[in-house]
Amino acid sequence: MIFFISVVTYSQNVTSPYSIIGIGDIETSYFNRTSGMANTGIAYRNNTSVILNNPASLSNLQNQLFIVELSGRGRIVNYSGTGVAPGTTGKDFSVERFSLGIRAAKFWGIAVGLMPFSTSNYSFNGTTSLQGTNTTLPVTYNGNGGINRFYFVNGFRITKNLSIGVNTSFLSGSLTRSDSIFTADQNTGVFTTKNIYLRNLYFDYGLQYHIPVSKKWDVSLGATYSNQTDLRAQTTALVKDERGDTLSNQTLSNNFFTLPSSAGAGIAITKNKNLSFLADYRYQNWSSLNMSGADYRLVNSHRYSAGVEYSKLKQYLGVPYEVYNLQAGAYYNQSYLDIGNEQITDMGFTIGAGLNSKRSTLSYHLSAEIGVKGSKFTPVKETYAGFTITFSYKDFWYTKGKKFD
Amino acid sequence: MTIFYKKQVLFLLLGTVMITACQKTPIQFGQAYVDNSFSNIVLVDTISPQLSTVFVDSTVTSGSGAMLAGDYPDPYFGKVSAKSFFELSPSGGVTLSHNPVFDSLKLILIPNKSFYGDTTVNCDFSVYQLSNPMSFPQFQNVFYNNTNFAVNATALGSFAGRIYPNITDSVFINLSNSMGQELLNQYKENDATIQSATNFIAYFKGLRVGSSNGNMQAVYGFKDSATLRLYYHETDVFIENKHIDFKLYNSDNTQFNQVLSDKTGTPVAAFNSAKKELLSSETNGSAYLQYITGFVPKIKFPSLNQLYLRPDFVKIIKADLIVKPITGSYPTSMPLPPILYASETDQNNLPGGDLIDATSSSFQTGNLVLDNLYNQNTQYTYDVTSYLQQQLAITYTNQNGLLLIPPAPTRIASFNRAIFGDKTNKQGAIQLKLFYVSVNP
Repeated sequence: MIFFISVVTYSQNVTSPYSIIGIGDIETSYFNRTSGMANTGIAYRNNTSVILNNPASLSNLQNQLFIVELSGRGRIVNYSGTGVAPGTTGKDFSVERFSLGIRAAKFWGIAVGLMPFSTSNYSFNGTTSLQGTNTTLPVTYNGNGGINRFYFVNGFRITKNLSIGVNTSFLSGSLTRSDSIFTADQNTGVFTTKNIYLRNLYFDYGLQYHIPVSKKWDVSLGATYSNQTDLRAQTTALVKDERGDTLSNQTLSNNFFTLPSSAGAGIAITKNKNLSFLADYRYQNWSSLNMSGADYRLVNSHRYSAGVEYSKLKQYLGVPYEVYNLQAGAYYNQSYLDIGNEQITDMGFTIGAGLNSKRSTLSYHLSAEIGVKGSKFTPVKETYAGFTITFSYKDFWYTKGKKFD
Repeated sequence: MTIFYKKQVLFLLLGTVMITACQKTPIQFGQAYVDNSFSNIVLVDTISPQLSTVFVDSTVTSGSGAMLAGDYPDPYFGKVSAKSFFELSPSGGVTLSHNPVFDSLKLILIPNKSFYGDTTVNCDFSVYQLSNPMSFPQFQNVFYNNTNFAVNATALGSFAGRIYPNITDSVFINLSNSMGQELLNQYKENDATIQSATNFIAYFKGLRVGSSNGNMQAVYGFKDSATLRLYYHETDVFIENKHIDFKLYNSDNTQFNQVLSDKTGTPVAAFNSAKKELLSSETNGSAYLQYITGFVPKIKFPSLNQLYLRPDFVKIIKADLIVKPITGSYPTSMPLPPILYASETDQNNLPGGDLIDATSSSFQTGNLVLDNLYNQNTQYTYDVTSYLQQQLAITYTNQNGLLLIPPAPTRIASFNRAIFGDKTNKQGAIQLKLFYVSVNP
């Protein structure tokens, strides 16, 4: 299992120019079944899948279920904007999430795992002034890194219809910002690498309420909430010359990056237990933090998404299991970045399909999305297409004798 | 918990790093958000090098491969005069048949295309015979620019005329007929003197070639392969013109050039054996270079330690030394040395290791750039990065510096000179452009 953990890396190669701001791009995807429904799932429950959208949903895992999930995402992005050459593209594929989930007791589901919290990846050329003159020197700027989220989720069923849950995450990672300054003849240079180490615990609370309206219809409501959290940030700087000799190595500062309080609400309406309509709203309270920079401000973000899922069910020994599923979704996100008085929006469509083989063991889920981040009014517009693939390995762990729910 | 090996293998396959190693796509966005205040490169051009001139009162002029003769007036170095001293040896294998008749005796010099001064004026050379053979003092096997040997009172011959250094291929100087006749007689009698070099040198001593009256306008260089040619003819049925050659002999390393200068009234008049180094401020804001007459500029960096006063200073990353000859000091008749090495030295002012070019690993030559258009940007440039990095590490006060010296052996076969300006000199000021890495403390 440690092998899997080491495999979930953050070497995304797609450049994200806005990831220079703050702690990079904060991940909005859960890399799971709900990715086919635009990651809509605050009110979603599935008994054979780890749904991290709402920690309370863990309480619905099938009895004595043991599940391992691994997800990867591939993307291709086309960039446009002032200063971007036409036809500039980037692509990548990387493993994003690892989860281990079990139903520990009749009312209690647990999941642990690793997924990205934020990533930063950018590269551009600029200039810096040659101090003591009116001329400039060329500089290459690079950014890498991101924050990982090691999570431990517990979901509890309080009553037949009410579940609560808490996702205890340890956010940890480092952002690297480096710049390379060269002298005019390109033979000598100064290479500065700043590393910002961030860490803290982060809690996400969730609640789900299930209302069986009639024999055909079910309604679920969900809500999530996180507190404002300060990430401890330590910045170090290493300066080297062109031969690799260290010129300076020091700790610059120890302060905080504040993550805002956030909340979410969702609804799911299910017909005949196999056709679901979902809608989510997620909100992050950045404005009260008053974070801003040269020409940007961090403002409240709002994400609206909706999805539909059809699940083909069959009965096996009295227990319904899913043969396959089909999904579609759409999202509209007003992100927390406001650059030059223009809030960056991210919108798109998704589709998804999943397949479960026979009784349990392996399941596959593939989702695809297509979207646009930014617009012609923002400095850079990204048009992207991507897919998320999730592999699940399910099994039952035995106590004394088989038990069926 | 049951274990499924097949599934684990599958997961291992899935778990291998499936990351496509793409190049990061650069997108030009973000310059507004970078903080450049932490580390930077800073240019300092206020650390001025200190110039001085070092005077060497005697320079070795043996082994130069050239014969220098003539004088030329130099506005900075005074009247410079050169005379070449050399020995001759007889050639063997000469058989005289009956009645050889003396015709003439000529000294043949071959110009080596080098000259210094105004060659449009006629030359006026005289050849004198040395009164005594040349000999080395004890423990010495070279001669110096101020070495002298006495000559006979009367010249053996003279030459007045125009030499075109690039065209003239030989200069013939007529010498005394009586000397010629005497030499022919020795061949007729098969005298011991013409049997070996040693015997001949003991008898003939040697010759000195130089200007007749000290009023020439240029110094000329000749190859160190002069020939003394004795022309005669033999009468038999026909008249056959023949000659006997005496070649320049230097197996004992005695060929040398005497180079003296009369510095009265010049900026360098103050130098003598007691005053061997003068700052540029004492010599018209300039430093003087003419190796053969004993002047070498020295560049020191006494204020380099000022860098430590800057709290953000970390390391010198590049340093360029720009040395400029002052405007108008290098007419085409008196050109600059094409190559100058920068030699490390200390308080003793003796040349040490020469600065090396970091990329090509050969000696730095100064990369002379001639500005023939405006005469303002003529300069020699040296990369003194590693030199100054080493000097900065020295904590005790010192007199370390760089001497600018032309390469051997041309430096003792030519008169190329330069006058460099110090930091105050408006005709051409020395400059140090120093770049250092600055990191916010």
